[in-house]
Amino acid sequence: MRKLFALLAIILFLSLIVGCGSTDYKAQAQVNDTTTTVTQQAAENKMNVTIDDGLDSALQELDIVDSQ
Amino acid sequence: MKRGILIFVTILIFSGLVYAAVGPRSTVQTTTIETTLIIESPPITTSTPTTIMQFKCSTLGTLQERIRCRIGLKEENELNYLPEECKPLLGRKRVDCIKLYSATNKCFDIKDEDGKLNCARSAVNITDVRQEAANCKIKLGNEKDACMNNLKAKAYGLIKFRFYNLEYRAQQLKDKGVSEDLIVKFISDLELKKQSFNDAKSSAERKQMILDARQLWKDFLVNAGVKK
Repeated sequence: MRKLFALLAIILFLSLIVGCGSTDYKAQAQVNDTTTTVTQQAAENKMNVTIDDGLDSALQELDIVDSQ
Repeated sequence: MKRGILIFVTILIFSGLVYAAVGPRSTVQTTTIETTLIIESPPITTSTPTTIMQFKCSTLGTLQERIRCRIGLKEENELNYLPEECKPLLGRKRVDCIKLYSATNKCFDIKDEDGKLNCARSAVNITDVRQEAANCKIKLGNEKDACMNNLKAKAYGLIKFRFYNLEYRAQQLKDKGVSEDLIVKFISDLELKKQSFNDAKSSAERKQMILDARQLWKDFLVNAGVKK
Protein backbone atom coordinates (compact mmCIF):
# COMPACT_ATOMS: atom_id res chain seq x y z
CA MET A 1 0.00 0.00 0.00
CA ARG A 2 2.90 2.36 0.82
CA LYS A 3 4.45 1.65 -2.53
CA LEU A 4 1.20 2.53 -4.20
CA PHE A 5 0.99 5.86 -2.33
CA ALA A 6 4.60 6.63 -3.18
CA LEU A 7 3.91 5.95 -6.84
CA LEU A 8 0.80 8.12 -6.81
CA ALA A 9 2.72 10.92 -5.07
CA ILE A 10 5.40 10.81 -7.77
CA ILE A 11 2.78 10.89 -10.56
CA LEU A 12 1.04 13.83 -8.86
CA PHE A 13 4.32 15.72 -8.56
CA LEU A 14 5.23 15.11 -12.17
CA SER A 15 1.81 16.10 -13.48
CA LEU A 16 1.94 19.35 -11.49
CA ILE A 17 5.36 20.17 -12.97
CA VAL A 18 4.10 19.45 -16.49
CA GLY A 19 0.99 21.55 -15.82
CA CYS A 20 2.93 24.57 -14.58
CA GLY A 21 5.40 24.28 -17.44
CA SER A 22 2.55 24.21 -19.95
CA THR A 23 0.92 27.25 -18.33
CA ASP A 24 4.18 29.20 -18.45
CA TYR A 25 4.70 28.30 -22.08
CA LYS A 26 1.19 29.38 -23.04
CA ALA A 27 1.47 32.61 -21.07
CA GLN A 28 4.75 33.36 -22.82
CA ALA A 29 3.19 32.56 -26.21
CA GLN A 30 0.39 35.03 -25.46
CA VAL A 31 2.89 37.71 -24.50
CA ASN A 32 4.80 37.04 -27.71
CA ASP A 33 1.62 37.21 -29.79
CA THR A 34 0.61 40.48 -28.16
CA THR A 35 4.09 41.92 -28.62
CA THR A 36 4.13 40.89 -32.28
CA THR A 37 0.71 42.44 -32.89
CA VAL A 38 1.62 45.69 -31.15
CA THR A 39 4.93 45.88 -33.01
CA GLN A 40 3.19 45.23 -36.32
CA GLN A 41 0.60 47.93 -35.66
CA ALA A 42 3.33 50.36 -34.63
CA ALA A 43 5.16 49.63 -37.88
CA GLU A 44 2.01 50.19 -39.91
CA ASN A 45 1.26 53.40 -38.05
CA LYS A 46 4.79 54.59 -38.64
CA MET A 47 3.88 55.40 -42.26
CA ASN A 48 5.82 58.53 -42.98
CA VAL A 49 3.90 61.75 -43.31
CA THR A 50 5.36 63.59 -46.26
CA ILE A 51 5.44 67.25 -45.36
CA ASP A 52 6.31 68.50 -48.85
CA ASP A 53 3.17 69.64 -50.68
CA GLY A 54 4.61 68.99 -54.15
CA LEU A 55 3.30 72.32 -55.36
CA ASP A 56 6.64 73.79 -56.49
CA SER A 57 6.43 71.90 -59.76
CA ALA A 58 2.78 72.99 -60.06
CA LEU A 59 3.86 76.65 -59.89
CA GLN A 60 6.59 76.04 -62.48
CA GLU A 61 4.25 74.28 -64.88
CA LEU A 62 1.65 77.01 -64.47
CA ASP A 63 4.25 79.63 -65.37
CA ILE A 64 5.20 77.66 -68.48
CA VAL A 65 1.71 77.19 -69.87
CA ASP A 66 0.34 80.60 -68.87
CA SER A 67 3.29 82.50 -70.31
CA GLN A 68 2.68 81.18 -73.84
CA MET B 1 -10.34 5.65 4.96
CA LYS B 2 -7.44 4.48 2.81
CA ARG B 3 -9.80 3.97 -0.10
CA GLY B 4 -11.07 7.56 0.28
CA ILE B 5 -7.53 8.95 0.23
CA LEU B 6 -6.77 6.87 -2.85
CA ILE B 7 -9.82 8.23 -4.71
CA PHE B 8 -8.95 11.81 -3.70
CA VAL B 9 -5.36 11.48 -4.91
CA THR B 10 -6.51 9.88 -8.14
CA ILE B 11 -8.86 12.81 -8.81
CA LEU B 12 -6.00 15.21 -8.11
CA ILE B 13 -3.77 13.42 -10.60
CA PHE B 14 -6.37 13.51 -13.33
CA SER B 15 -7.06 17.17 -12.65
CA GLY B 16 -3.35 17.91 -13.00
CA LEU B 17 -3.14 15.98 -16.25
CA VAL B 18 -6.20 17.71 -17.72
CA TYR B 19 -4.87 21.13 -16.69
CA ALA B 20 -1.51 20.32 -18.22
CA ALA B 21 -3.13 19.30 -21.50
CA VAL B 22 -5.63 22.16 -21.84
CA GLY B 23 -4.13 25.03 -19.83
CA PRO B 24 -5.75 28.40 -19.18
CA ARG B 25 -8.00 30.19 -21.72
CA SER B 26 -6.24 32.70 -23.92
CA THR B 27 -7.85 36.01 -22.86
CA VAL B 28 -4.98 38.23 -24.03
CA GLN B 29 -5.03 36.78 -27.52
CA THR B 30 -8.80 37.30 -27.81
CA THR B 31 -8.42 40.97 -26.90
CA THR B 32 -5.72 41.40 -29.53
CA ILE B 33 -7.83 39.88 -32.29
CA GLU B 34 -10.78 42.11 -31.41
CA THR B 35 -8.57 45.20 -31.49
CA THR B 36 -7.20 44.28 -34.90
CA LEU B 37 -10.68 43.77 -36.31
CA ILE B 38 -11.81 47.18 -35.09
CA ILE B 39 -8.80 48.86 -36.69
CA GLU B 40 -9.22 47.06 -39.99
CA SER B 41 -12.96 47.59 -40.26
CA PRO B 42 -13.79 50.63 -42.43
CA PRO B 43 -15.97 53.25 -40.79
CA ILE B 44 -19.63 52.93 -41.73
CA THR B 45 -21.45 56.21 -42.22
CA THR B 46 -25.11 56.28 -41.42
CA SER B 47 -25.42 59.50 -43.40
CA THR B 48 -24.60 57.85 -46.74
CA PRO B 49 -27.61 58.63 -48.92
CA THR B 50 -29.23 56.47 -51.54
CA THR B 51 -27.58 56.51 -54.93
CA ILE B 52 -28.66 59.26 -57.30
CA MET B 53 -27.22 59.23 -60.81
CA GLN B 54 -24.86 56.45 -59.59
CA PHE B 55 -23.09 58.85 -57.22
CA LYS B 56 -23.15 58.51 -53.47
CA CYS B 57 -23.04 61.44 -51.05
CA SER B 58 -24.27 63.89 -53.72
CA THR B 59 -27.64 64.68 -52.17
CA LEU B 60 -26.33 66.02 -48.88
CA GLY B 61 -26.87 69.72 -48.41
CA THR B 62 -23.50 71.17 -47.53
CA LEU B 63 -20.01 70.70 -48.88
CA GLN B 64 -18.71 69.56 -45.50
CA GLU B 65 -21.50 66.99 -45.16
CA ARG B 66 -20.70 65.58 -48.59
CA ILE B 67 -16.98 65.44 -47.81
CA ARG B 68 -17.63 63.71 -44.49
CA CYS B 69 -19.79 61.17 -46.29
CA ARG B 70 -17.21 60.71 -49.03
CA ILE B 71 -14.29 60.00 -46.74
CA GLY B 72 -16.43 57.41 -44.99
CA LEU B 73 -17.03 55.45 -48.20
CA LYS B 74 -15.56 51.96 -48.21
CA GLU B 75 -14.00 52.39 -51.62
CA GLU B 76 -13.72 55.95 -52.78
CA ASN B 77 -13.72 56.12 -56.55
CA GLU B 78 -15.33 57.97 -59.40
CA LEU B 79 -18.40 55.74 -59.33
CA ASN B 80 -19.02 56.31 -55.65
CA TYR B 81 -19.26 60.05 -55.55
CA LEU B 82 -19.42 63.06 -57.80
CA PRO B 83 -16.16 65.02 -57.33
CA GLU B 84 -16.98 68.40 -55.83
CA GLU B 85 -14.97 70.17 -58.49
CA CYS B 86 -17.19 68.63 -61.18
CA LYS B 87 -20.44 69.41 -59.40
CA PRO B 88 -20.90 73.01 -60.66
CA LEU B 89 -19.92 72.00 -64.21
CA LEU B 90 -22.44 70.96 -66.82
CA GLY B 91 -22.53 68.77 -69.91
CA ARG B 92 -19.26 68.00 -71.63
CA LYS B 93 -17.21 69.88 -69.04
CA ARG B 94 -18.59 67.73 -66.26
CA VAL B 95 -17.92 64.55 -68.23
CA ASP B 96 -14.32 65.61 -68.88
CA CYS B 97 -13.91 66.55 -65.23
CA ILE B 98 -15.11 63.13 -64.06
CA LYS B 99 -12.92 61.44 -66.68
CA LEU B 100 -9.86 63.13 -65.22
CA TYR B 101 -10.66 61.78 -61.76
CA SER B 102 -11.38 58.38 -63.23
CA ALA B 103 -8.10 58.29 -65.15
CA THR B 104 -5.96 59.29 -62.18
CA ASN B 105 -7.78 57.27 -59.54
CA LYS B 106 -5.46 54.28 -59.94
CA CYS B 107 -2.45 56.49 -59.12
CA PHE B 108 -3.43 56.62 -55.46
CA ASP B 109 -2.47 52.97 -55.15
CA ILE B 110 1.14 54.06 -55.59
CA LYS B 111 2.82 54.83 -52.30
CA ASP B 112 5.68 57.15 -53.20
CA GLU B 113 4.86 60.70 -54.22
CA ASP B 114 7.06 60.82 -57.33
CA GLY B 115 5.54 57.59 -58.62
CA LYS B 116 2.06 58.92 -57.97
CA LEU B 117 2.71 62.11 -59.94
CA ASN B 118 4.35 60.21 -62.80
CA CYS B 119 1.29 57.98 -62.95
CA ALA B 120 -0.95 61.06 -63.16
CA ARG B 121 1.26 62.53 -65.91
CA SER B 122 0.85 59.33 -67.85
CA ALA B 123 -2.92 59.30 -67.21
CA VAL B 124 -3.42 62.82 -68.59
CA ASN B 125 -0.92 62.09 -71.38
CA ILE B 126 1.65 64.70 -70.48
CA THR B 127 5.36 64.03 -70.13
CA ASP B 128 7.38 67.26 -70.06
CA VAL B 129 5.33 70.47 -69.96
CA ARG B 130 8.24 72.66 -71.06
CA GLN B 131 9.00 70.42 -74.04
CA GLU B 132 5.36 70.15 -75.06
CA ALA B 133 4.99 73.93 -74.83
CA ALA B 134 8.00 74.29 -77.13
CA ASN B 135 6.42 71.83 -79.56
CA CYS B 136 3.22 73.88 -79.60
CA LYS B 137 5.12 77.08 -80.15
CA ILE B 138 6.54 75.98 -83.50
CA LYS B 139 3.04 75.27 -84.86
CA LEU B 140 1.10 77.90 -86.77
CA GLY B 141 -2.31 79.59 -86.50
CA ASN B 142 -5.25 77.59 -85.19
CA GLU B 143 -3.14 74.48 -84.78
CA LYS B 144 -0.87 76.36 -82.38
CA ASP B 145 -3.82 77.67 -80.37
CA ALA B 146 -5.43 74.24 -80.19
CA CYS B 147 -2.12 72.69 -79.13
CA MET B 148 -1.63 75.26 -76.37
CA ASN B 149 -5.21 75.04 -75.13
CA ASN B 150 -4.91 71.28 -74.97
CA LEU B 151 -1.62 71.53 -73.07
CA LYS B 152 -3.11 74.07 -70.65
CA ALA B 153 -6.07 71.82 -69.92
CA LYS B 154 -3.74 68.91 -69.22
CA ALA B 155 -1.38 71.01 -67.08
CA TYR B 156 -4.25 72.46 -65.06
CA GLY B 157 -5.58 68.95 -64.56
CA LEU B 158 -2.20 67.89 -63.24
CA ILE B 159 -2.11 70.87 -60.87
CA LYS B 160 -5.52 69.94 -59.50
CA PHE B 161 -4.37 66.34 -59.17
CA ARG B 162 -1.74 67.66 -56.75
CA PHE B 163 -4.50 69.37 -54.76
CA TYR B 164 -6.46 66.15 -54.74
CA ASN B 165 -3.37 64.27 -53.62
CA LEU B 166 -3.09 66.57 -50.60
CA GLU B 167 -6.71 65.74 -49.78
CA TYR B 168 -5.90 62.04 -50.08
CA ARG B 169 -2.87 62.40 -47.83
CA ALA B 170 -4.92 64.29 -45.25
CA GLN B 171 -7.53 61.55 -45.36
CA GLN B 172 -4.86 58.92 -44.69
CA LEU B 173 -4.07 60.68 -41.42
CA LYS B 174 -7.49 59.73 -40.08
CA ASP B 175 -6.08 56.30 -39.29
CA LYS B 176 -3.33 57.97 -37.29
CA GLY B 177 -5.78 59.69 -35.01
CA VAL B 178 -6.13 63.08 -36.69
CA SER B 179 -9.57 64.55 -36.05
CA GLU B 180 -12.14 63.89 -38.76
CA ASP B 181 -13.49 67.42 -38.36
CA LEU B 182 -10.06 68.82 -39.15
CA ILE B 183 -9.71 66.60 -42.22
CA VAL B 184 -13.20 67.46 -43.47
CA LYS B 185 -12.50 71.17 -43.10
CA PHE B 186 -9.17 70.91 -44.92
CA ILE B 187 -10.65 68.93 -47.82
CA SER B 188 -13.62 71.28 -48.08
CA ASP B 189 -11.36 74.34 -48.18
CA LEU B 190 -9.17 72.72 -50.82
CA GLU B 191 -12.20 71.78 -52.93
CA LEU B 192 -13.23 75.43 -52.93
CA LYS B 193 -9.73 76.38 -54.06
CA LYS B 194 -10.03 73.92 -56.95
CA GLN B 195 -13.27 75.53 -58.02
CA SER B 196 -11.71 78.98 -57.70
CA PHE B 197 -8.78 77.74 -59.78
CA ASN B 198 -11.23 76.75 -62.53
CA ASP B 199 -12.99 80.12 -62.33
CA ALA B 200 -9.76 82.16 -62.30
CA LYS B 201 -9.49 84.65 -65.14
CA SER B 202 -5.75 85.24 -65.04
CA SER B 203 -2.51 83.42 -64.41
CA ALA B 204 -1.98 85.51 -61.27
CA GLU B 205 -5.31 84.31 -59.87
CA ARG B 206 -4.45 80.69 -60.64
CA LYS B 207 -1.05 81.12 -59.01
CA GLN B 208 -2.72 82.58 -55.93
CA MET B 209 -4.93 79.48 -55.66
CA ILE B 210 -1.84 77.26 -55.62
CA LEU B 211 -0.25 79.45 -52.94
CA ASP B 212 -3.49 79.34 -50.94
CA ALA B 213 -3.52 75.54 -51.21
CA ARG B 214 0.05 75.49 -49.92
CA GLN B 215 -0.94 77.61 -46.92
CA LEU B 216 -3.95 75.39 -46.21
CA TRP B 217 -1.69 72.31 -46.17
CA LYS B 218 0.77 74.02 -43.82
CA ASP B 219 -2.01 75.04 -41.44
CA PHE B 220 -3.53 71.57 -41.59
CA LEU B 221 -0.25 69.89 -40.66
CA VAL B 222 0.21 72.28 -37.73
CA ASN B 223 -3.34 71.76 -36.46
CA ALA B 224 -3.01 68.00 -36.92
CA GLY B 225 0.13 68.04 -34.77
CA VAL B 226 2.30 66.70 -37.59
CA LYS B 227 4.34 69.86 -37.93
CA LYS B 228 5.20 72.58 -35.39
